[in-house]
Amino acid sequence: MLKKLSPGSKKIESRGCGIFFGLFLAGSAFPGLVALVRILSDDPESEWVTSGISIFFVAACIVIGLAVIAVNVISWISEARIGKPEVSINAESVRVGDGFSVNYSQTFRQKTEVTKIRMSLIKRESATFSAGTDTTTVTHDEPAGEFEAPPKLFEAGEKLNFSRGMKIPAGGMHTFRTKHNEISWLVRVKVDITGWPDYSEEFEVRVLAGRVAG
Amino acid sequence: MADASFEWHLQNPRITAARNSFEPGAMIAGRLSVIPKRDLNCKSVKIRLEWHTEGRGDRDGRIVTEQEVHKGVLAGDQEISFQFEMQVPEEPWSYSGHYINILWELVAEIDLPMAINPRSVCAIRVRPSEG
Repeated sequence: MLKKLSPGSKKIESRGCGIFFGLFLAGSAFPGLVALVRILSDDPESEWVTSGISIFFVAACIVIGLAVIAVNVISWISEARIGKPEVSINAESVRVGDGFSVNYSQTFRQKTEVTKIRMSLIKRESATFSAGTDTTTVTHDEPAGEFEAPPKLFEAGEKLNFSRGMKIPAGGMHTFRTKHNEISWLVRVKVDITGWPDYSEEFEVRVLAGRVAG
Repeated sequence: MADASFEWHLQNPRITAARNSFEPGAMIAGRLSVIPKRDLNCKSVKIRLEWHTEGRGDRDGRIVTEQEVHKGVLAGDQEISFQFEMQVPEEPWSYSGHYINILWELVAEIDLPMAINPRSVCAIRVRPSEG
């Protein structure tokens, strides 16, 4: 029985936030730049040094905003180019010590030169703490298995399909989730594409308490 | 100085390198001995099985079971014993990681009116046996 794993939605949210932040930064600074240029052109006697510094900072905000938008949009295009991978495991549930097979399937939408596909099983600890009004989350990843596919040039419509056995270590830990502390197991897929930003996605494997006998 | 001394006697903990180790789902049975330093008129004596997290993140935890084993006067300098039996749940397991530790313990507390409650903690380990 194959169980399809769902990708984490945090990346999509952060990308949306990035584009929104870039638009906000560039959009709010742009009227300021227009106003400053208009003042300087209408009144050549005005203070050039002060106005020059103002223009520099306003222009910097616009450049940073546009750069943030560009980075997020290019990543988006990169993902659209290679298509969404499908990752599934051959078990309905996984326990500590269980071996399982991860099946990876991806159809490339356009001709793409892939230099590396790396699939890793990682245990992640996420700890959230508050200090004053700030809330911070720190994470620590511990690899438990890794597999690399060789480089290859994929034609448009070509499909990549492989399976790989992985194992939750016998001395490992089940998935644990509370308000401030979380232990999770993830299959992370990273695809390196020539000329484009790397594509990376994480899929959670829920590990139940209980240990495999023997 | 504490108003009472406590002593824990656990039955059948798994013999491992870690003391007082139990399988998830196992039954913890034992005896708690208390010797009050003076007469204590307590609201209650309670024994709890609980876990909590320690480490970088803010603390999470839960009291799994609580048993009230005594109410009323505890005579000074006289040992009194309380039997208890509690079932360990299947999860979470004891854990020691980079940012997160999950610790299990038995806690005994004498609830005194208008005074600091004497308490004792007995650390246990909840994890399936290796192999």
